[in-house]
Amino acid sequence: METIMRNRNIKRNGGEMFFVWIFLIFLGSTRFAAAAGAPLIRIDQTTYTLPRAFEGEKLSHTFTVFNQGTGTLHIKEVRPS
Amino acid sequence: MVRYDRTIPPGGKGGITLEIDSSRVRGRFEKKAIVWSDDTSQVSVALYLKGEVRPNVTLTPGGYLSLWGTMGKAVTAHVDITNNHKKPMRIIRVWHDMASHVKWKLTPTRPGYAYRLTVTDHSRSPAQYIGHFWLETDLPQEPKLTIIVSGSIHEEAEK
Repeated sequence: METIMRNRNIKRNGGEMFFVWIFLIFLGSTRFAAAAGAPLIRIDQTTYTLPRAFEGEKLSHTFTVFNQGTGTLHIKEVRPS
Repeated sequence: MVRYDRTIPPGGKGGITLEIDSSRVRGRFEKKAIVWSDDTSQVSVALYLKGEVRPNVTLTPGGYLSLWGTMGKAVTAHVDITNNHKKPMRIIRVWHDMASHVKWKLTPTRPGYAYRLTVTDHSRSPAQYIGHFWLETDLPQEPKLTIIVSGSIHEEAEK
């Protein structure tokens, strides 16, 4: 009886250890990714109101995008909707 | 239309330019654009561009006149033409394609800024017609205005 209980504890502890190892590997990989350089996008002003205009006038505005990360930021797409 | 920097180095900055064709927009507007990047902490960012586009010239009640009535009675309608610019606007020429049906008069209600075009039917017989008025202006942004006229003139009912 005692042997059976010991075996069960070993199995349970083994299962818990498996998840601990998975967690540590995940943590390590994210730290590695950060060290390798991750981009960080920042746009201070996301809404802009243009001055009143007449039809036919050119209307445009340039939003400034900062990369505060350690890796190159790639803008994949800008999709108007 | 959209223009943007595709790559931005660490610590650097770039730009995203949104352009709007104001000839396709009237009144207040709000345009949205979604920015997709490889920043895993914030994959998308929404940008908003707001504004208001005013017409160069306003036609009140609109660019359409209806002449509906009975022969022998003065069937008349008018359209007010308002220049929304600070610079005055002259109407250089007025012409139409309904010679046998209408008479017209252009009155400056506020010279340079507001005019009234009054159109009166003078058909000699019952008629149904559709035609145009064209007004040539010296406003570079709006050199030609078009007003559509629809006429429906009936014979006076017998008593």
